[in-house]
Amino acid sequence: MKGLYFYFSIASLLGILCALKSFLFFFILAIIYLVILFKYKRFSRLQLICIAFVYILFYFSTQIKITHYKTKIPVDTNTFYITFNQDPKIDGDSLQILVKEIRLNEKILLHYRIRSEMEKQMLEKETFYGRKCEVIGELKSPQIAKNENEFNYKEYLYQNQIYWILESNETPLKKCVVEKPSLLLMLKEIRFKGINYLKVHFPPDIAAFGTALIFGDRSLMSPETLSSFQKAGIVHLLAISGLHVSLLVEMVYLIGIRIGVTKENMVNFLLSILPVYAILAGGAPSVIRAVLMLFLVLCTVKFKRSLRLSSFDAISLAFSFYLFVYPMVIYDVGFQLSFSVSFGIILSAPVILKRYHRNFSKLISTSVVAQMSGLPILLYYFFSSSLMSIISNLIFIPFFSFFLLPGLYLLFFIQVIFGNVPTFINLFFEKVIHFSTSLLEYLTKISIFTFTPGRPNWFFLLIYIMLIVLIFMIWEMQMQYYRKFLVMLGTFLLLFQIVWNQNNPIGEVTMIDVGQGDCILIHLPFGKGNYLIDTGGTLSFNEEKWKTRKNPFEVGKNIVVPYLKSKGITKIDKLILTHGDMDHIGGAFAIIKEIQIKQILIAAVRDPSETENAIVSVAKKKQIPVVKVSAGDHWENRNSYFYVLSPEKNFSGVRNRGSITLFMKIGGLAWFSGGDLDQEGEEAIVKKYPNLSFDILKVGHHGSRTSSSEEFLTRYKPKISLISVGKNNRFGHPNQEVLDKLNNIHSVIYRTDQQGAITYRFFHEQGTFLPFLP
Amino acid sequence: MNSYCLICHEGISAKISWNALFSREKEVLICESCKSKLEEITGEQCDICCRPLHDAFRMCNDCTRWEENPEWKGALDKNISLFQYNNFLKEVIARFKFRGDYILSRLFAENVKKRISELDIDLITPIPLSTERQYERGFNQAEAIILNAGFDPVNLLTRIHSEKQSKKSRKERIRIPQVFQISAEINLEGKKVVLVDDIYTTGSTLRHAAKVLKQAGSEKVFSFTVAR
Repeated sequence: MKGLYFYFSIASLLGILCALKSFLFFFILAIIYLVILFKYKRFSRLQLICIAFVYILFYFSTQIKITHYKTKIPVDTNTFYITFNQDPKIDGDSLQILVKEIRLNEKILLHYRIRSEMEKQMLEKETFYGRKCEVIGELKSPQIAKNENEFNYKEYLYQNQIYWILESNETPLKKCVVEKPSLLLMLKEIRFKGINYLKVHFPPDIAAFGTALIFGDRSLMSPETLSSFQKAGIVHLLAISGLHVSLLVEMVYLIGIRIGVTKENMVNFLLSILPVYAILAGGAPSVIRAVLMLFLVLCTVKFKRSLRLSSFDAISLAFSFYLFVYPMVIYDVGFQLSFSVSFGIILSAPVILKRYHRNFSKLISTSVVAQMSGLPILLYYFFSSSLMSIISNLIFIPFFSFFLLPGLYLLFFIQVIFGNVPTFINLFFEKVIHFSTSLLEYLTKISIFTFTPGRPNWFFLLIYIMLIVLIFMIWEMQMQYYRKFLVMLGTFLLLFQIVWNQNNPIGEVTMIDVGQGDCILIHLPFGKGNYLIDTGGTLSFNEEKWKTRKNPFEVGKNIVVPYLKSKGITKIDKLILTHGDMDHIGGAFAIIKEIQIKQILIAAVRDPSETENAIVSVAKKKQIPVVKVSAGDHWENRNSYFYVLSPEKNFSGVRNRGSITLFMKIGGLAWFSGGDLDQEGEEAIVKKYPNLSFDILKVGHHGSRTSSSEEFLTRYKPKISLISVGKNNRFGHPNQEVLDKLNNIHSVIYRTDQQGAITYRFFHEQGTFLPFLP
Repeated sequence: MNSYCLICHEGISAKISWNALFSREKEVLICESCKSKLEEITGEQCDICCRPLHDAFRMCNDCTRWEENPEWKGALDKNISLFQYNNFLKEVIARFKFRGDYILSRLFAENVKKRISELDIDLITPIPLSTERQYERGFNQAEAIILNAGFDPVNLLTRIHSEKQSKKSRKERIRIPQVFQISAEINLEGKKVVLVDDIYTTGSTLRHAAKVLKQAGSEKVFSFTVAR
């Protein structure tokens, strides 16, 4: 069976997908797979039977597992008996910790809002492991995604068999008894103590990198550092990757041999320590993958030398074992990336990578192989990929592997053994880390290398995968005249989706669900332009310092920017800020930072708000022209038409009345959108433009009573009304009165709080409304 | 899939590469290590006998001597050989023909097929064994090579003399009288023939056979051997 385990891993994957996704589709695929193995791969009958058996085994085992994947806890439970399964995450005034309900043996995510700074300090010192507690609180369903391509928290938790978030009313450690924790929890506790030990005994920068590289915990890392690692495409270095594990094991092995331990004993030692290490290192899929592979290889070394497991066999077996125990991990990004990149490198090692002899070219080629192997997954989850990562990998892989990782281990052990690390050593490390992060920041500024085609659909994914395999095959063949082909295919790989985006004949008008706020994206067909009317915004309160989160949620950064990127939109032609309210333009800062803006339109009012002024000054710094618009301004774009109805120049009334009000023709429909325009403003429009007619109304001010005047609605009678409003908002929007008025004129209402994003998708001036949630 | 090396009997591990993974599985007969011991004849070689040459001579000394002899001039038009007759191949061929490991002829099948197909020929004929030798071995190694490559051998020749070639010196071999005669009643007038044998050593056997064929009217006579 040597060299054939890969074919078994494919069978196990098909079995799992058959159970989790579509039975028929993957069943047919499995049959085709067997036929291919028989006809093209000369598999013997016995081998085929074995493979079919693996497929069936994985199908049934997954099928049985998923029947148990549902909650057993009744919704109205409010007293829970729990033990703690994970380190607590304390961020600002929030405590989050994974717990297990003892009686029903179900995982729950416990959330508790910390009451005071003193309580926070106390909780930070507490050990949660080994306690059995009674907690009172209520169960809440996790949030679902409400925009296309948005991260679906509920699904994510479901994939980890977590079905509820428990909002605890009181500190979870109030009523507890101590009990002896299991071995697993004891190891987790050691890890937790190790993290805290680093936090206490080292300067913050060293502690942050130390916890990341030794314990696989990134929570001490500052969001800025993390984001520059992400942008440079080397965030994998901050996770404990397979590379780290093998380096570490190699170091330990060599040290052991050096001090005179026999090879046999060293193998025994490693075999027993590896599972422990996997837990101490945080148990991320990349760690488990690497540990499993090493474990399998060492096992064959110990028990059956003649087997000589190749790394290709080892990774294939590790893949199957991992999935057999935990099929849901197939949805995990870390799992997908770790395995696809490792498969890519292992498959390329014997021929492609062997060809490069110098260290430099070897690193570059490995980096290119890794980047290509992970590309479809990166694009699917992160919508973009940094070509810069090839360069940054070149610099940072050696830096991390040969300096930082062994260095930090050394510091850690010096501290543990001698109780003190000389200050100058710490200082040296701090300086080096500081230098490397500044270098990284500099690298990320060169953004021409970022490539953002958006989330590929299944068809594009297929094209990506086929192109990548083809490129690898041709690269492997190494014939002079194929070089041309390689360059061509590489260019095609990077460009085909972007070219499609530019020529997509389908246009979209989307009211993005930004909670309480407004944000409408107009994406014209054939790459003719993108306009964004308002940005949504998160109100921030000046809170005490201990309460503020490290990386607080902000709708522009967390919803709008990812949405735009997922659509492959990297350029906004006109950013229209209707008026100065935070819930309309607060997200502009993040958008200006991340997306190229050609022009900003603001209302030509006399007294712009503070937020508007702040945006204007940011725009000035970025040299984005800001245009003040007023009634009568208009522009055209192919079949679309935009006309500003109000405000008048130098308008000086209340802020809502001064909202930029637009009459638009897009996709064969006429639209009216007026920000928070109030009743008086609406009536003024009725007077000024009595013959106006439109089909779609963006209901003013999130359905507040202050907008949607009777006169205005009955005059224009829009067929469809769109309300952008947050769920359970504290203003009581949309107002029932407004809803009644809209019903009276028989207008169809779409609401973002109930239906998520509302998209009007059109082709040749014909289109349909598609709410994200049915 | 997954088999054992025909030569060393070690298990062959599947090749790990993108092309191996995504292309049709080829039947693998020998392992990489045995394969590397077979030295394919490439590069500069003698125009007639295929001997590898180090300088840019057109013809090796042996062939020059053959060609200078009016009796043998032009007897053999061109010889094609696949591998150098090194110690490893010597052992493999000995096992194949003397010890009757018939299946080893499959090792060369793919190459033989490819190279013979490139030739413009009408007939393929093996160098015959004497009846005695054939009885001793159970098969004619040259015929086995042709059959395994998927061609139809035509037995044009028979042996008159039955002494073993491999026990003779070069001089003896060149001087011996004709050992072959035409057996089949096929009109060879204007035909292009390829003679197949396992080894090309001095070229004497092949030239004797070629001469007979030429005398019978063949337009061109090529020879093909596995080893040189």
